[in-house]
Amino acid sequence: MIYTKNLEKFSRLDFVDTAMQGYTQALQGKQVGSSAPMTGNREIDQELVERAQRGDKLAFGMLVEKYQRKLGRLLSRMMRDQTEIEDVVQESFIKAYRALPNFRGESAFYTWLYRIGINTAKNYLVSMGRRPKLTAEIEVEDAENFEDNHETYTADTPETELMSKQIAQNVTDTLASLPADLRTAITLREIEGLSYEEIATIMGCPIGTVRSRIFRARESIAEKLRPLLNTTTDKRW
Amino acid sequence: MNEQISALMDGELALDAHDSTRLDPIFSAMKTGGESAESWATYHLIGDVMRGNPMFKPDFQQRMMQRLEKEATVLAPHASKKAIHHDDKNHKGLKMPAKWSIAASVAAVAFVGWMALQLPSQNIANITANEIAQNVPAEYLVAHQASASGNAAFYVQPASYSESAR
Repeated sequence: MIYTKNLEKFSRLDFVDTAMQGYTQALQGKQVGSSAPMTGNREIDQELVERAQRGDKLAFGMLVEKYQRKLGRLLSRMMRDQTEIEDVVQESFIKAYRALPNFRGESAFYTWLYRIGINTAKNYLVSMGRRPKLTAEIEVEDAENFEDNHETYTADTPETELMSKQIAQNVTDTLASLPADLRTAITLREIEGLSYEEIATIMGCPIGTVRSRIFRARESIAEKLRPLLNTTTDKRW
Repeated sequence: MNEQISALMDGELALDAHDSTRLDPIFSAMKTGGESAESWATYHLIGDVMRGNPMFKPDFQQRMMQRLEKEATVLAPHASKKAIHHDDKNHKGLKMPAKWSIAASVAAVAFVGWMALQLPSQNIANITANEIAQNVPAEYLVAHQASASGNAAFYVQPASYSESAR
C-alpha cells in the first residue's frame, strides 16, 4: 500500500499509475533520477575501479555489464547502426580500461566513461568521413540526463531484434503480474531512481522491507527471463 | 547472496569507507561465474529494459571479456586513492616549521605595514634641520642641558690639534 500522505513529498511520483503503460513515455519531460547514479552507486563504481586498477579484470567486467546499455543508448544519438554502436561501445570500454591508471577518481566513473564514449564515437565518424547524426554537440552533462530520443533503436539482425522484443515483453508482462508492493518498489527504484529510504517513506514500510521487495521483484523477473537467456548463460563471464 | 547483490547494485549495501572487505565475499562469488555473476548481469538487464535502454547481441559481454583478456593487465593500485586523498594531502602536506615560518612572515609584513601607515603623510625629506630643531620640545632641551657645554670654549679646538690632524 502506498501512503498517499507521503506522496506530496516527492514531485516525481505521478508516473506510478502510468508506469505499466510504458516507462519512457511516462517520464518525458521529467527528471530521470535513475540516469544519474546516486552517491552509493559512485562508491560501488569506485570500489570496482580500484579493484580493476589492482589487476582484477572481472571487476572491470562488472562495470561493462553495468554501463554497456546506458552508453549504447547515449551513442545511439550519434549513430544508428547497431553494429557500429556495439563496436564503438566496446572500443570505448577498451580505451577506458587502458586509461585506468590515469583515472584518479576526480569525477564519477560514468562521467569519465561517457566522455570517452563520445570522443570515440566522434573519432569513428570522422574516420568514416561522416558527421555525428545530431547537429548539436552531445556534452557529458547532457549525456548524464538525456531523455529518450524517441527514435527506434535499430537492431541489425532479425534475430537480435526478436530477442530484444521478447526480453522487453517478458519484463513488462512479469512486472505487470507482480504484486503491487513489489511492482511499486522496483518501479520507484529503477524508473525514478529513488533511494531505499525515500521508497520506504512513500510506501510506509521499513527500509529492510523495501530492500526485500526490490530483490523479490528482480528475482521474479529474472526467473521468467532465464529460459530466454539460457542460451547465453555460458557466454556470460 | 543475491539479495546483497541487488542492494549492492542500488548502492544500498552499507559500506565502511575505510573497509571494503565486506564486499570481498560478494566479489569472490561473482568471480566464480555462477549464479551471482548471472544475477548481477540479469538485474542490470532488467533495469535497462525498464528504462528503455537498447540491448546488444547476446554475446556482447563474452566478446568484451575476450578482448579484455588480451589487454595487458592494469596495475595502478594507488591511482584513485591518490586523488581521493589529494585534498587531504594538500591540507596536511605542510609541516609545523613551515607553517610557523609563513605565520611569522605574515606577521612581520603586517607589522611593518602598520608602522608605515602610522607615519605622517608629510614628506620627511623636505624638512630642514632648522625646522626639526624648532620643533624640539622645551622639556627635552632642559632635560639634556647638563650634557651640553657651559661656555663657548667647548666648541673651540686647539690650533695645534688641527695642525697635527692634517
